[in-house]
Amino acid sequence: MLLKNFNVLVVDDVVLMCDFLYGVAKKVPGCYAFKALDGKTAAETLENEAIDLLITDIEMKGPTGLELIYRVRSGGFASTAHDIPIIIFSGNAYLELIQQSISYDVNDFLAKPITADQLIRKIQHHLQTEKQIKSAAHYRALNSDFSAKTAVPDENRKVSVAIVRELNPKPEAETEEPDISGKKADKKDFLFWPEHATTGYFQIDRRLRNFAFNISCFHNVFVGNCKPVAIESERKRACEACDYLFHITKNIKHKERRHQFWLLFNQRLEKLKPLAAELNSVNIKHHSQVLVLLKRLSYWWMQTCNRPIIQKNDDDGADNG
Amino acid sequence: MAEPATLPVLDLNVLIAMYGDDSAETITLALSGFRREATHYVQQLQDVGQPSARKDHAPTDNVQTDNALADTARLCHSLKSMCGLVGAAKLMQLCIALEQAAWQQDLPTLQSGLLKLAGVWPETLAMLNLILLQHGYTDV
Repeated sequence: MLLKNFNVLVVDDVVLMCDFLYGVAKKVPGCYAFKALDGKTAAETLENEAIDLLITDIEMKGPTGLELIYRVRSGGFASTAHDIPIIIFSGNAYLELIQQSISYDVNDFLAKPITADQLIRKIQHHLQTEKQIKSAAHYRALNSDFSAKTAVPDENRKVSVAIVRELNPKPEAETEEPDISGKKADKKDFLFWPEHATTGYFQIDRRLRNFAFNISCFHNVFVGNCKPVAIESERKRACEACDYLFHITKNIKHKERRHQFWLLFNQRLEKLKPLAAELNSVNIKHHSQVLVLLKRLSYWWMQTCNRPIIQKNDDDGADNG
Repeated sequence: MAEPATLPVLDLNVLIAMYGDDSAETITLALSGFRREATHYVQQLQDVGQPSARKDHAPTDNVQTDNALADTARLCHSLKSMCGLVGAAKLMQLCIALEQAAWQQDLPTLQSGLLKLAGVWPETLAMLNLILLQHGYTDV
């Protein structure tokens, strides 16, 4: 079951195609659609609205689809999170652009034309399937590697025309970001997001899941006595996950529709704030202090990830208004 | 690959499958939108194919710079996408050939394709107007 309150942005510089995508996105139950005919309008929408899924063409006049994707993934928009599902919808693609898109962890490549039914299924799939996206800093660093070859030289383009039918995203296991010690966060070890759980808000669910993952990574490298640089790196990501949780919560609209939920959830966030501040400043050499902090984070998580804040996904009560 | 002559000018079944809706409202909305936007694209392509005032210029002289060829390819690419959405198969096939010729800087093929466009587009437009009329759209 899809929850309500998804914002889907479709971007295509062909009016007919943009209207088609917009019409289809509007039909998906629980989705509110936005459309943009150029990269500039799209960027404004991403800046001002909390977009949950982006469908974009690649070849547009500035910013191009790829530039938009980079700005999303590098956390360049105030209201839109960097780890939203991104679907590229294009007829032609060039090897260099596909490689760059893959490195930005786009969720899907769809070839034009695609039927309304197929597109609806794709939207539903990507709104319900979580793909682990790396930190915004990772994509910012990545872009410097690409900057020298952002523009595909014409002499290469002319021989690399290809129709992209469908390129399946990498399996989840491959896309999960390993920690520096080479281990992946085992969610059962420390914090985990219960299966089929929901707050009723897709955006918050993803931030909470991301929070659990990153805190668990931090926990794993810390108790595993990894190198300080690895611990610092995971600590930074965990702090970013906290910030994203606070940030996205601020941007959710129509809170009055679930007054009771927001009352409780805001109380929980207030309790998290000092813990997040401590996480940011704690000296990782002080082993006992960090362990106490982790214990408090675990306690906070246990109290938060429980009824009435979270429900089972198929519960009748999981209505976000 | 089928020759353009054997392809349907406009296959309404494609449009219905794409939109998942066979109502007259959807059909007229899609086809009138296509007609409006495609006319603009075709006009730009025809401008590209127009010989300049100088007598020693060939019809494709206007597209001989790399940028102009890239722009032509993009126009064809967008028009191709639109055609695929509404089932304008014959025009779509031509756009595919034109786009490839533009990317490959194959000026003879581009030139002959642009000449074909002068025949395929009026044929498409006539069929569009006919279907629009059949579905109660009066502004043709």
